[in-house]
Amino acid sequence: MFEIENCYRIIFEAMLEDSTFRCIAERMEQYTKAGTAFVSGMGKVLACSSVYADLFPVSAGKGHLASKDYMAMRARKEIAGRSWSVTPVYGGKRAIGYVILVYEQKKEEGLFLELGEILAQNLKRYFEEEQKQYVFCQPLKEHMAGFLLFKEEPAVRSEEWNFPEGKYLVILIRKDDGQTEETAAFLRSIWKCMQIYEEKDEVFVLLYQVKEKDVPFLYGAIEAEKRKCCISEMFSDLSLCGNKKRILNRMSRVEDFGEKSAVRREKEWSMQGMYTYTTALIENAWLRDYSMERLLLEDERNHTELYHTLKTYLLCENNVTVAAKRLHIHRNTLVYRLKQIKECIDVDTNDYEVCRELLACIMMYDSAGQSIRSRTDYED
Amino acid sequence: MRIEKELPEIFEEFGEQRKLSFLEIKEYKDRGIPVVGMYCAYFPPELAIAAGAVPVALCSFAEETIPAAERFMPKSMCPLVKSSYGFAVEDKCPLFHFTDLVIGETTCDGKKKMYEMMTEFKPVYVMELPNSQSERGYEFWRGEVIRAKEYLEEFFHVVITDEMIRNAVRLNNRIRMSLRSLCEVMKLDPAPVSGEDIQKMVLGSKYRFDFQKTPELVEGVRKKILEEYAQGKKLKQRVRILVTGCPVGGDSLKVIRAIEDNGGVVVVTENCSGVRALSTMVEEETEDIYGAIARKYLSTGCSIMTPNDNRIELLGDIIDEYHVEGVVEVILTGCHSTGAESFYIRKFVNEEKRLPYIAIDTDYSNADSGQIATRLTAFIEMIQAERACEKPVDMNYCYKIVLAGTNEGCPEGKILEAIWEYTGIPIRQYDRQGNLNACAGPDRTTQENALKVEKELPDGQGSIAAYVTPENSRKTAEELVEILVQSYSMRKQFTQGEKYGHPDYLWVAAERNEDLMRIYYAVRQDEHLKGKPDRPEGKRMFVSCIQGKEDRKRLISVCRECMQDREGKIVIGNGFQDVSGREENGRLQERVLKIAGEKKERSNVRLVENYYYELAVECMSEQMELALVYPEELEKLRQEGAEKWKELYETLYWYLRMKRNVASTAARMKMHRNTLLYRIGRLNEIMKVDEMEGAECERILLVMEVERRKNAPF
Repeated sequence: MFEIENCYRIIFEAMLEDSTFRCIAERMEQYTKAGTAFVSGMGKVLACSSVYADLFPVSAGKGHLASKDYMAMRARKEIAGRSWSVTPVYGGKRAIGYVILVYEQKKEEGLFLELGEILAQNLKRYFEEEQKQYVFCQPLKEHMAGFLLFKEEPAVRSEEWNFPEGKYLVILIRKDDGQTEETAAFLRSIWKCMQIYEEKDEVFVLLYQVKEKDVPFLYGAIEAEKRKCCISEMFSDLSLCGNKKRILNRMSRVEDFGEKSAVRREKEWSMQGMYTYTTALIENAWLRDYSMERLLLEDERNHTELYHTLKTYLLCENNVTVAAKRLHIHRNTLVYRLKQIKECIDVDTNDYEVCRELLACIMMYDSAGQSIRSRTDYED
Repeated sequence: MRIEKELPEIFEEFGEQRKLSFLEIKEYKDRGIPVVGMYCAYFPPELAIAAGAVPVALCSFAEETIPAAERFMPKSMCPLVKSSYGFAVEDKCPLFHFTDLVIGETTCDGKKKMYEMMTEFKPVYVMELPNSQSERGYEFWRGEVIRAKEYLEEFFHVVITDEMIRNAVRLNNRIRMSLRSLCEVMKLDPAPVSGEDIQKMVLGSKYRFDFQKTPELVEGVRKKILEEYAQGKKLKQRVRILVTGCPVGGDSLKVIRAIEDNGGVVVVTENCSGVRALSTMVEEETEDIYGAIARKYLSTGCSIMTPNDNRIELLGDIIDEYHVEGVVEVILTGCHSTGAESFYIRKFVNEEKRLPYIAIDTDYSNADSGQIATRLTAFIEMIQAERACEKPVDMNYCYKIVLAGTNEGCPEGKILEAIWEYTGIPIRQYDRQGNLNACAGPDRTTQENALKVEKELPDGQGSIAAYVTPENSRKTAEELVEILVQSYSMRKQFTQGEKYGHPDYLWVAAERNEDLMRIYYAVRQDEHLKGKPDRPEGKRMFVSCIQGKEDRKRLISVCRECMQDREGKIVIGNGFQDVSGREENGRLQERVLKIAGEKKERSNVRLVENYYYELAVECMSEQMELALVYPEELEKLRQEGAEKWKELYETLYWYLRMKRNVASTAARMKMHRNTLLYRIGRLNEIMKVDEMEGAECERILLVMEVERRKNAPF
């Protein structure tokens, strides 16, 4: 048995400490013998006591509610002879967090429900603070569905979640652009079936029930709107979500030189994404190329675009006509520039093997980003 | 040859050469020497000379014969064709009169028809000219040159031996070379003589039939011009104009006159009667002399060629070399190909070279000369006005600043700062690697579009660059850079003995230590190599003080020499600047050596730049899960069944690697073309491989490479 009044004191004292959630969880368990945990609206386990950690080791270990534990929490069945109370913390209209208490005596239920209420009321400000890091405030169920797809990557699709059929597209929006909400709203306006999953720096949007014929429309609409985002190709296996997330993440981190395109399609950018795995070669092992540096320097000095021209030309499989179109220059101008490039770096751009290495070099340089170009930068 | 006459007199003489040649040609004729008439720059006069005939360029530049031609031809035809035909049909051109045979080429439509019409009163032989300067076109043209030679042999009943044709080639090359050097005196700024005079010389030389003496005479004129230039006899500062487009001569010289009467000077003409025809020589030391002739004459960048890449290329070079300030394109009314091409010549001149451009559409009549003069005057004034905004800079004062600064031992930055304050020209100095060493003037962002004049410092120590601002001319900037470069060598003498500032490092990795030891001694003994090797540590050797790309090249050749008769392999690494990356970079080279060991190559000296792709693929296959990027297309391919899949997979791999070139893929896979085409057809059914964009193909290829690497036993 415990006194509710004593709990107020514990809460008050803990609020003076730095890590309020952890203090409360530990002290509350000491006093009431009930496992205590605080879960944010985004499924994050903000703090938990040892009893809770023993019961749900996966959630406690990862600091995020595992979907299995979430299902158990929803079902509110007894686990290992212990009962539950889950008290939502409301901020605005939505629940922004949950207070979870796990206790042994079923008869004390009323008391623990009250304690849950008290904790929820008093810690609301902290939960709000936590929620501020995120753009979207959606029901925990929605978030957990996203978490399951993008983070836990189920090999088999579970019955309980009942994911939508059809084919899928994943879109990544980086939060640092500050336009996340508008972009998401725009996506909703063109496609109703979507699932949002938010992480610290980026937001992933899963569009489902996409049909083959919708794809060109979707790409077209997004590209026309010039929203800054990365889009995957269409896929039909939900277990690929995690992979798509990773490659989109890689793609989004590549610095943009020359292209200036807002929308990055997996088809076009995943190669650049793959090359981000090689940055160690450039950054740590100092892989450099005299020819490429000469070319970059030439560009810097004369304000030409030889480097970009060469890259586009190589990406167009050495096809002058296609490359000229991509670069928006006349074919003759391209031929002239290629001649300049040839003179500058002294290689034969007609040799397929040479081109192969050149392209790899350019892609690695691009992936390494600004660090490699700083050499040609002015120091003043 | 020493020229005794005054220059204007000589120019006039050459200008009048055409008229004199009428009498001369009669003499030749009387002596029984045959005459071959020609019109275009595509016909090799070597053939006529070798056949013992005199090649003469037939008249085509006068207004007076056009009305006669218009009785037979539509008025809308180009004046050059009409004039040529008028001369012929009226028999007004004595050269044409004495001509035994006219040789034409299938160039533009007007000329083709003209040759047809000429056959009615003159023997005409037409060479078939291909429409493009491709390899196939060249093969064809070579055949045509030989056919023309055979025709001449038959027509004049002579035999043209290899010796004869080679002599003719040599002679013509000498003439061309002399004329080109003459044209090149116009690179001097300010120009020594007017462009019209040069044009007169070039055109007139075609009417001198004493070919042996022409080169000497022209060379004499060139020397005399340079002599007088040295004595200060030169034109005043004028706007330097490039004339391009249709050939200019006779009555259409009015354009050049209009430019030169109104404050400009035509420093160079880029058309088939100008530098274009003189820019290349026939290769003399070759087995296949007719091939060499065909190659030279086919390279003529006339607008009838498609695509006409040679012209853009040459134009770019000429603009830079001759310090051109504006481009005037002459389009003869009715010359559709030049008219159409002017669109991208304008684009090229305006956008790539950032120079003003004007197109003059005219014919041989004098009716529009007033209008042309007005337009060109405005054009030249516009360029002059830009120049007039410039602030005059006293170069002597700049010398003073530099000298004083150097003597006081000021750092470069200080001197540049002083120069910038005085002239207002932003200056930058770069070191060997192109890093900014010192600078003066506003931030670079303001110079985004400014023209830059740059000159390398002696011994590849870097470079100095000045920006051309609206207040200063390019010339001032050039002079300034020149002074600074000179001052640099002066300063270098003071500080000699100091070590090189920024050394580049590189690693050489080898399979066997004894190879490295051999290289170590060889590198140490090499005088030209600036790099300094450390004693090899195990299977690696560290080299410092590499002076950029050239020095590395030298190192490579030293290694190649050492490794000539050796079994083991070595890898030469890349140059890098940060010594903190020393160990990592060394390991990287060992890794490359390992990769290189798997690949068969002729040379056992391997360079890191030939393994970028392999390195990247290895990096990816180590760190990345394939499922991350596995494209749907390859997934589909897997559904084909194991046997079929393997076959198609292999085909797809090589097809993509050969950039979807069927011929090279078939060769690489040692497979019959039809088998390959069948498989590609299947691939197209599955994944539409031929409709993909290039970048997409590269992506799929990369995934396949990573997959292969992952599956490879390693």
